Amino acid sequence: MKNSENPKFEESWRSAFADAEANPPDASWNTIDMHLSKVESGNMKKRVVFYQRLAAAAVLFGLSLGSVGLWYLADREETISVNSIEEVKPAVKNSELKRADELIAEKKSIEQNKISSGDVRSENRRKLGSEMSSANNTGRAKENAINKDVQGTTGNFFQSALNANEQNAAATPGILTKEPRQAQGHNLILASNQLPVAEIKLNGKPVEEIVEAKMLARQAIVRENSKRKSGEEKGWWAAIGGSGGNYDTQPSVLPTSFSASRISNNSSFASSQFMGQAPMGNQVSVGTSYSVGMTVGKKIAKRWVLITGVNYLNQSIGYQSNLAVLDASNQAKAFLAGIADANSNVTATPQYNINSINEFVSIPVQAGYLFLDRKVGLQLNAGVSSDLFYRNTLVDESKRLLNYSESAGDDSAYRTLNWTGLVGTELSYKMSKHYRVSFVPGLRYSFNSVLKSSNSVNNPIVWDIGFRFRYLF
Amino acid sequence: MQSEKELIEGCTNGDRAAQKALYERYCRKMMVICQRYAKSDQEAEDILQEGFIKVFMSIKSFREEAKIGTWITRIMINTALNAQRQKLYLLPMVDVEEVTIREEEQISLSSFHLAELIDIIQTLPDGCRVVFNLFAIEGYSHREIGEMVGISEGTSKSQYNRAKSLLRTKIAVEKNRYEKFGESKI
Repeated sequence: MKNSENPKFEESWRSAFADAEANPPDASWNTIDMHLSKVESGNMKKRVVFYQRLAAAAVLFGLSLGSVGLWYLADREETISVNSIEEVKPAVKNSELKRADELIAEKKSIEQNKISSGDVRSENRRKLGSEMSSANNTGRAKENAINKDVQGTTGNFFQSALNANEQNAAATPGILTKEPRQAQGHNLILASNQLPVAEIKLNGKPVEEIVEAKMLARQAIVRENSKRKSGEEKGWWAAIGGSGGNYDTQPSVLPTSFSASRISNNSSFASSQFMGQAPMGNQVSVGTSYSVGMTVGKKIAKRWVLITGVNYLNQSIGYQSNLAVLDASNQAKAFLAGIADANSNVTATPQYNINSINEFVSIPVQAGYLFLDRKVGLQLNAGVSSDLFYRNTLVDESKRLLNYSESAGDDSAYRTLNWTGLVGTELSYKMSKHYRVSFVPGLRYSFNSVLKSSNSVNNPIVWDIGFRFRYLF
Repeated sequence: MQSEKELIEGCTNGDRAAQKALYERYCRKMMVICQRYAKSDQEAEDILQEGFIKVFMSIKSFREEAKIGTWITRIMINTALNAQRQKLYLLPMVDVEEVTIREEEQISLSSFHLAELIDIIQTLPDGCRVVFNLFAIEGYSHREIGEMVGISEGTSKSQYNRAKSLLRTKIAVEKNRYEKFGESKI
């Protein structure tokens, strides 16, 4: 026995096929043409998606920049406003308050002097008593002389104080005056607890009143600042809510490059009569979409609010399928060509209805313009949402097949990050100081298809009506 | 009629007319190659379409050091091998028992139509068919075939010998039938 490689054998075959030609079917070029068109449209779509993302990024950047700008301007406006309040709010002017400060200091000084003068009077009285006791029988004249002496001492003291006040009054004309006639009399008879400052008036008001006014004014400023501050805090709100609506995909028949040749018949589930059938992907029901989550908002200017939050988003839609995929344990799971991707073990089945459910974690960023901000509020919101794909689940409505799930990832047929444009209005009603409810009809438009390999336009549009229950801080 | 250079330039620029012209120039020759590697004409058509899509997608990488016909042929063979590789993965080629080849026995294919020869080749098992095409018609060595298909040189040889044996038998049967009934398959 011998293995042989007879050159004549090979030569015979080689020469037989040397210039051999055979006509391919006429439809071959059409198929190639169609594939090339799809690839080109895919490339075009990639470019469009790039520009869409660029536009979305520009909008996001613009919103961020605008928000920061508005924030800065609003903050500056408030600073100017508070300064204005400090300038005009008090019933007395700052110059008066300054003067009142000086008067307080002066009063303290006078009190110090009062103590000193009390000592002088005590000393005088002590001397007087001593003299009266030593000269037990003194005459009226002598008593008068003594009284005159005492009066002269105290009168000179208070005269000097009043003179000082007069000088101060001259320094601030029109502001500080004194009770002139009593002070000018030089014949003050003062009780030991009486003070001359009680008679000093500022623009016709007693100093104590001015000081009190000053304190009240300062408290008013503090209150005003505090109110402003709490007003800023009041601009914050948090809400829980949800929305629901219909979900429309384009087109209604799924584009698929799934080849019928990939369908195997190695399953007891499959029936030979279904082998070779074209994969189905016809939409049979209107899609539904709902979301729940929490939202926070901040009033960044008189009529502008910035809104963000986190939502769980669920979008489901019904299709017809005639395929199933077999898992490792040979159990059949629901499968839909064009939506899911499985490398092997796809088998043909009788036609059945399948529900495709996409789940996302959505992070919206919106700017809102307040048309009406009263008990009833009306605002227009617009922004973008980054939807993080979490999972797709294919559910056989007849429950004969197990669910088939596909999560995000590099190997997934689904994009992890999807961009969606948001536009909507918000009609709200303030229930109490801290609570407001609102209805939010809106539109979500996907800038890209959630499928990585989608060959045709597939940008779902969602019309929904939302509800928010706000807590105002 | 456009020159090959103009066609290549047109294809590089995505000109659909140039692509169609290039396709029409080479599709018949490539169809035969695909038929030789495929199990059926339907499969050959799939390989042809996939191969030409690859040609148009990667024509920017074509360097004019080689002829465009040779380059397209190479792409078609690779596409055909890829299509067969999945089958070969599931049913890997193994060494087969040595077969007896009578050296003195000459083979004449001149009496066969091309379609008959293709039919005969398509009846070969997948592994034998691939090795036969690569060795007998394309002219690769068994070592090169082993590297291309992912088998050992010995396996390539034994698969080829089996292919030869099967082909001789088939041809003999067809010849006998022709001599007996005077009719061709086609």
